[in-house]
Amino acid sequence: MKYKIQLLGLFAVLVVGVGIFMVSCNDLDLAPLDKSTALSYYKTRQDFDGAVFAAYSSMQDMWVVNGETSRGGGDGWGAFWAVSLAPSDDVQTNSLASSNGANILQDATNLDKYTWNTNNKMIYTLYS
Amino acid sequence: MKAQRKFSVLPDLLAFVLALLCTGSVFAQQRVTGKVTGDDGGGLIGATILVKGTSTGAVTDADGNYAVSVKDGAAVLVFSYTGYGTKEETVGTRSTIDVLLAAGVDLSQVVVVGYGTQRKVDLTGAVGSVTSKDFESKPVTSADQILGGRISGIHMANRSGNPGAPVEVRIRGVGTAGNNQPLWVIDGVPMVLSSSVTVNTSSASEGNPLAAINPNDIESIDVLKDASASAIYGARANNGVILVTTKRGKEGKATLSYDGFYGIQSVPKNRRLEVLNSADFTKLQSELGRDVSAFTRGGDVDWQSQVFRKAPMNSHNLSIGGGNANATYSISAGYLGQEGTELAQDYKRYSLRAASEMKAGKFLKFGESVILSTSLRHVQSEDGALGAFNSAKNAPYFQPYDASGAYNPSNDANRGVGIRAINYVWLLDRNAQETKINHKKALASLFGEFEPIHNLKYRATLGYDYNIIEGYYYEGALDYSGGTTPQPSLLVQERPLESTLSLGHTLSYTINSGKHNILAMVGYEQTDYHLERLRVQGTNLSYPGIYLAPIAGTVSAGANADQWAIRGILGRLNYSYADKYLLTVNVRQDESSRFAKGNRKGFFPSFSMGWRLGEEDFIKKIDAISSLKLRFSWGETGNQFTGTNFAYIPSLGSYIYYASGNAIKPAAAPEVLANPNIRWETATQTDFGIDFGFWKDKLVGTIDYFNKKTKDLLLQAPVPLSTGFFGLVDVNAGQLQNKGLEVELLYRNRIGDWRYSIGGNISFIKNEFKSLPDGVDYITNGDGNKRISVGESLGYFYGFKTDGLYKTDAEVPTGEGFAGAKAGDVKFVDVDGDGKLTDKDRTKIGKAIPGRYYGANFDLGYKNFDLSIFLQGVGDFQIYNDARRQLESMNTGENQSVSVLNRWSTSNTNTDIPRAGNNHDNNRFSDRWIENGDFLRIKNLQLGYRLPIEHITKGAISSARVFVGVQNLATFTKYKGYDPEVTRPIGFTNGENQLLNGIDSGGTPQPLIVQFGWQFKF
Repeated sequence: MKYKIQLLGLFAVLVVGVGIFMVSCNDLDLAPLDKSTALSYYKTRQDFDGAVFAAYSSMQDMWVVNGETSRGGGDGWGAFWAVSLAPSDDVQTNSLASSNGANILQDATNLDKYTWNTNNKMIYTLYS
Repeated sequence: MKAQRKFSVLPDLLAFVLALLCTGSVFAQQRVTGKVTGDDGGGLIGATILVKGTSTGAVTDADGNYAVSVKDGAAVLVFSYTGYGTKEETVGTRSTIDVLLAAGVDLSQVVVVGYGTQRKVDLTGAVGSVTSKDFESKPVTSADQILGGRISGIHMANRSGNPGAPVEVRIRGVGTAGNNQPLWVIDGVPMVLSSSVTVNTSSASEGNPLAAINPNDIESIDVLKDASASAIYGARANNGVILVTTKRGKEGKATLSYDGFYGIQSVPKNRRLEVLNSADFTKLQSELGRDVSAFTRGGDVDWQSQVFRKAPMNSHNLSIGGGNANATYSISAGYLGQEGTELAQDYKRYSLRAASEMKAGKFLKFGESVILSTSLRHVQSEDGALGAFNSAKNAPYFQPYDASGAYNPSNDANRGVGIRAINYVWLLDRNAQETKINHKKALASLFGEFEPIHNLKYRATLGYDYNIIEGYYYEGALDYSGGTTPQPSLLVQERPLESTLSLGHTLSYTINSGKHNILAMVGYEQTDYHLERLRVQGTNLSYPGIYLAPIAGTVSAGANADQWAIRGILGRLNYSYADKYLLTVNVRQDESSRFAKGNRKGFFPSFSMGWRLGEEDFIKKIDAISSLKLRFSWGETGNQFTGTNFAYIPSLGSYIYYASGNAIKPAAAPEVLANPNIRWETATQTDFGIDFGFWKDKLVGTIDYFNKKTKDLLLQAPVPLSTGFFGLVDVNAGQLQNKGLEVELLYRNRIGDWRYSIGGNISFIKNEFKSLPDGVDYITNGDGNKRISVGESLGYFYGFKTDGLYKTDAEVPTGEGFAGAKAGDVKFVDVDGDGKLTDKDRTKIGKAIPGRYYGANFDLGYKNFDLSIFLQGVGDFQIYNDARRQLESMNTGENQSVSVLNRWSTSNTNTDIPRAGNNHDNNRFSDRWIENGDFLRIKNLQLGYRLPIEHITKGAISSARVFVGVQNLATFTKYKGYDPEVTRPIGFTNGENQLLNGIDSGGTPQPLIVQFGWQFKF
């Protein structure tokens, strides 16, 4: 009798265990609550145009962090804006930049003249 | 003027005590008295006598005497004492029962493990425990503070001495580059500790979500350290698991207890920073080209003393519990009031807890635990953050008040051109600026248990954690310069609503057949998390006294929300043969919404084995060995909190602008490159352990060696800007290793009326980063001064090495980077030897993660007196003392440390303090500011006396104890800042960040607390 009860108990554990494997309650297919996603947002030509143009916006600004050029905005106290419209012939430069050891002025002048090469720290930062 | 609330609820609590006393009842019963002695013949103080099958009982006095009432002669008394065996005596017709207890192994000690309990002697995993006795009269204000120095492998550090500040807990080292907080499970409900309010941009407003739970409601804390113990929690167990069990009622008549303490906190003057007086400040400024001699007539002001203060702290806790064989209950109420040692800091918490368990018929059992709390915390507002430290930089002659007693404005007429003098007393006045956070918490857990046949048990658990946090940041319409154009008044109001719903089922079956003991358990658990945060900012407030941001001239609003869900199936098998050979197998499979469908599932297995060597005949022959067990475990755990939620979906940012013709237009475009392959971080951990006891367990100990390797570590890797993304992308690409040794020892003994114990634990941990994403040599923070790279400790300091000062101009090299340097400037080391001083000369200059932490306690008792000393220490780590950098920079109008009196000059060349002025960029990130952070702290010293009033009050008061104590009595360290207990700086980044840790920005130090307390049981 004792062994029967023990077997019954083990059987019950197995049944519920298997049952649990097969049951799922909460929903795991969740989506961000405060942002649209690319999976569902784009519907019109304007939407797509905006997305394509905006993709290049990140290439407009260069920052200086600890004497090194950086991209996509600064992070921390040491960062400040250096140049904008980097990949164009109308580069805007922050005069503070050259005093922080980043040779921004010369690099920016070269960008402005479309004399791009890999020794240019900004070019290196942008495309590496 | 806003009314200030007083820190007192004593009248309310006393009324509550009286009300509860009125509900008590007394029954006439048979009285039994006697004495409990140890095998050395001395009376055992504090031995427990329990009437079997009830919770009626008593505790022996200083001589080992006791008195207890029983219903009739059939009652059985159970005598027990820590470190001694237990003994049972049937009362019969006796009115006096004397008992002798022999020292020995306590087989009955039980610890909480995941989804159940286990006898401590049967444990095969690494589990550390503390009980309420370890902390009940100490001034700890949150559950996480309990753990510091108490359990090997656990490192606890307060982020600040600011009441209610976050506490960082590390189990077996830093295991991820992100959040390292362990999983806290309270009464079976897994918690999500993400509540925070950032109403101003300073991270000083971050709070400790665990502070909402009254530590006095906690019965025990069990820490699952190795993978074998924690793998049952699967994808949330990588950082270890902490199981908190709150107090439960016991069978028997109602027992009322009341305890509390009153304390005074302070930061003594010898723990503050010593700065220049007016004469020395004037001289330094003169060297820097500023003449401030005309301003020094008003006398010197000790600005730190203007901000530091003696701060009262008091705590009151009242609880009542009891029950019978079918139902038990426990109800408690608590109050904590704590002012900060700096102006504008305080914390108040009111808490209520109710827990009960009841049987319904033969097969069913139900229970619940409900915790309600509300807390109000004030922190220093954005401009006034780090008030004490920043005020130390004020010109020493600057006065806080003018001749009329009004706040002195900060302007050139009062301080001099280019001189720093900010009136922090004014800034920290709540009528000028106020930041307050009100946290309301409801945590409930319900369970039902069904046992249709003996040893087959089904248990369902429902847990709900609901948090409302209301944060306010107010700025009055004031002009701090004394002008007539005040800044516009401002109110930022933020309200996150956060809820976590957990549901669990377990089914277990136990077989005890001869020498075979088997426990099989399967289960299912799911958790759903939801957050909504609304933020409203009002400028030009219509009614500044009313804290409603929408009633303002200009209103802006923002919001964010988040959600995730996880579910898992789990199983455990415990098997023991002859009580000697032990095996535990755990498995769990989790699925998380935080990952794409293909990566959603994670499987986390573990197993552990134990051999109770002490039960073998050949060991039993050795009298000195009372217990001996070998353990081995292996297992895998996961971490689902990897980076940003929904990092696998290309979510759109709405603030991206692009140029179209002559117009700038906003566009919805992906901000960050989504990574559909993002998945768990997985840790594999191996543990070898030995548990031992000698001389009838007078000496007990545990030694563990562990090796924990974390793979698929989430890191942020750069992507070429030509992809159109400027953010960093989350990738599972790193590997990290923590390995170490943990030792715990406890020796306890009695000699006549003297009893004592000496215990301690120490942990040695090596943290090493093993791999980075392909093509990435290192990862760094924005300032480039902390790094992650292979072969080094996570987030080590990266900067220039120094080698004293240049003695003469001729010593200065002529290469690139040395221009402008002269005698008296810092000699930075040309590490690569190329004759230039460039960024390539930066190198590793220290590490922030401790390699060693330890704790020790000494308890001594004589009759009714008890004395305890608790020490805590941390070693093998460094701190970047940014506060000292600011106080020794000598290139601004700020006041400086007295150490600059020893600055280099032509008449003082034998020094390591450079000449005034930041020539040669002397203040750059270098090992000048890296200091040894090792410290040993006398964390708590307490002397208690147990009042012999049990007999005087004829049992109405069953025990009474009063005590005096000192917290943070002394800290032994070479560190020069306020406090070496440094986690990360107060700044503009919230949450954990291994690339910020170890930087001291001058936060509030841990206070010295002198306390007087009392404990009564009725």
